[in-house]
Amino acid sequence: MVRVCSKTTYSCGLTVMSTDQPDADAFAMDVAEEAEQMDAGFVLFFFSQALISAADLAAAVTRHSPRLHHAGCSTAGEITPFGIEEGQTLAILFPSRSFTVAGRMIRGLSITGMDAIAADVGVLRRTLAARTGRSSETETFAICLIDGMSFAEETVTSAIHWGLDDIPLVGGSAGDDLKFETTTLFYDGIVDNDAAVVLLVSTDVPFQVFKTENFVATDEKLVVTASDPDRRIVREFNAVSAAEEFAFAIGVVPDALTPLSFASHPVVVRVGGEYYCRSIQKLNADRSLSFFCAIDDGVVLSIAQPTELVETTRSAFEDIGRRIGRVDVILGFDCVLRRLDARNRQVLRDLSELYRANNLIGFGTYGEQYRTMHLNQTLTGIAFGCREAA
Amino acid sequence: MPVRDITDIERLRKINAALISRVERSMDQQANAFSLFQTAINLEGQVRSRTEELRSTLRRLEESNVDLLAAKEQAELANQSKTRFLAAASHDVLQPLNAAHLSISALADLQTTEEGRRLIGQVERSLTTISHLLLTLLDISKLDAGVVRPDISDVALDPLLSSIKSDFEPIAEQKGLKFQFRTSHAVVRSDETMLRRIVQNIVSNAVRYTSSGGVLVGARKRGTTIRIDVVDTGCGIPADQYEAIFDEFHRCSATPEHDVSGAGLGLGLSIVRRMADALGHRIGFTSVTGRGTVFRLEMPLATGPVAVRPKVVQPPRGYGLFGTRVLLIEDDRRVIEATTSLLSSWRCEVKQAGSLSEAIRCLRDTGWIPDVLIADQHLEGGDLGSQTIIEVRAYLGRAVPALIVTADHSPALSYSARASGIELMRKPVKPAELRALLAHLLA
Repeated sequence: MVRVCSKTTYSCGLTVMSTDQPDADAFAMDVAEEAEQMDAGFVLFFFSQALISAADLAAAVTRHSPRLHHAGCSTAGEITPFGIEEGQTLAILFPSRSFTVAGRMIRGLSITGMDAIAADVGVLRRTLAARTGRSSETETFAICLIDGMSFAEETVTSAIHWGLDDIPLVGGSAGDDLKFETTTLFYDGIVDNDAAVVLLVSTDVPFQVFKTENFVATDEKLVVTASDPDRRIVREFNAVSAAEEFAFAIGVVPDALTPLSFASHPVVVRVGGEYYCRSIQKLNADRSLSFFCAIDDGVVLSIAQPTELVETTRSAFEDIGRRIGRVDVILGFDCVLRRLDARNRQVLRDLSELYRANNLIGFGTYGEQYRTMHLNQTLTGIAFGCREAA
Repeated sequence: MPVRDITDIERLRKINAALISRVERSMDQQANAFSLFQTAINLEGQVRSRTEELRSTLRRLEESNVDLLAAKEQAELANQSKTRFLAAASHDVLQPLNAAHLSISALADLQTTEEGRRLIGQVERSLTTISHLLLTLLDISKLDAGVVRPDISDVALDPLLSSIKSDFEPIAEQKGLKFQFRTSHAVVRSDETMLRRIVQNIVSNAVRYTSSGGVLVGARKRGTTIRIDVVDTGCGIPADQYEAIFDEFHRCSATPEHDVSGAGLGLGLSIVRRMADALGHRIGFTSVTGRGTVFRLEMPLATGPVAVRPKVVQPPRGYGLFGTRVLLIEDDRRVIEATTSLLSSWRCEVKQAGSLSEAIRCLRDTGWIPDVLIADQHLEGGDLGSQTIIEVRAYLGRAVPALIVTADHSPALSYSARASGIELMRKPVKPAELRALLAHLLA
């Protein structure tokens, strides 16, 4: 299929453009034209670094739409109106008529304290409030994009939520096509990593934030006995090499461990009576394991068994539909491990079709944010309903 | 190897150490990223459970709001019907009494024997007693039902006390009592009508229960309040009756002479206490048996610039006659009283004159213009009602609606009345008829 640039407009006015062409300038020009036509106030980009560079894209957008606010992050796969894809650039345009967006980039995550981040978000919240007035017609939600290699998502998510004062937050950690080297973010022309982008969106379109995951815990326990919490590396489980113990627990040889094995055998931690996924990112040369989330010595992990991915997700969408009426479009942050697991179980096509049917757009993430939490192996998102149905 | 199958002591020791240190660190929340994650989960849980609590509290509140609203509506309905009942009772109970008064006065005119007049006098006194008693009972009911609410304003004490003094002076004089007032120019915060009733009742009691000596009424400032003392040298109140004297139908054991007022039936102080409570005025007394009693009533002084409010017009109470100014031209005292109380119960404003010259004087002195004239045909000194009406109309310069009440059934009177546009009413007057006719004349 040869496709230079496709365009889909949903009934709430959100418009999604996508391309598989590496020409940043051409895409930015198309986006600029469309933004002009529909009077977009903000545009959000998700792009594969394999296709395009953040610097080229940000520069092209700034060049063609100097007054259009924009943000974006690199991905580990995209979800376009056509389903689950790879090597794409995706632009989501927010019409000014029903969306007011206030955003900023938080830079230098590894050296910025929680207080400073919370204060920045507080300023943002007041900026938006000043712009929208005391309208009771609109509700506000927050989107965050965080460098997926920053090792700081828990801290950043907590701090953002702290500053948000109970505005619902969803988001995703930027990816780099499973290279685990560098992810990139940009905001209004500035390109950086070790950074996060926070967007506050006020809209009169009904919406609902949600998360869905699929696993059950087994009673196979792994106790972290040696780790490097700052770099999220577990060196030992149960006082032996982490990779060996994990491989033993799932029944493979340590050298055969791949992202696929991690996707198919998530580990979960039990907090407050519930299990939360703590996903493994990769096997390191020293047979230690890198995680997508915070870990610590003494943390007890259980091996989990994924359940029916497609069915669980389908029933989550149905549940949202019951709450907000007909779903118009969903902005989703989908863990890259879910697509790996789906591919492994040969249900990727089904999952992709489910996303397409439910108008889910978004990207493959290295971690998902939902309200106060940084999660793994989860789909978080925000579903927009139809105004008439609300 | 599953944890439970590990037998190597060194490994188990290491696992144990890691767990211990983790447990210790988890006490110190937000120490690192993992703790933050745990904190976030706990926060989520708390937010969820609080939201659920709030939601169910809200639901309960909504439900109890609905219940409260229903209860409130019911209470309001009950209150309304109570108010209507009392208003109707005041009217329906007193109206036949007024009618009886009017009939009795008509009957008195027909008496030729001394015996007949004596018997009618007795019936009249009994009727008056019943009227007073009923009025007092109705007042108590209205106070208890909350139908009557104090209308607090600035009240000047001097005129109020002076008028009470002139009311009781003749009785005190008749009993040979010293009757002294030391009034004050103070202005207090109270309801004028209720305050007058309170002081009247206390003074009335003092005069009644004092057979020798005197009664002294004094007002004295005490800081931000003023105290009215009513001192008598009467029989006093025995200590065992201190609590009971404010109860209904309680009477001092040493009941003096026969009295026709409701207060004489032990209702006076019961009203006093209710009104003082409603006003928030403190009331108390000290008494020595055989020596006398001192009643004290305390009320706040008016603050700021004194503005004695002009009398507030009562809201209309139906009957369509509210505020109607009636000039009653009549010379029979009993008819005047009965008709006046009947008209007053319809909220009419009544002025009375006994003759033509009195009527003109009354109008000239006050500049008060009547809406309607009611005259007796045969007046003192030979004045005729019909002639008086014509003169009054001439004085006022307009044909004020007029009505003659008469026992004269002659066609001549009917003719001359019709010629002058004056209505006729036969004695004895029936209240409903009178009301209908007045309403018709004023329409």
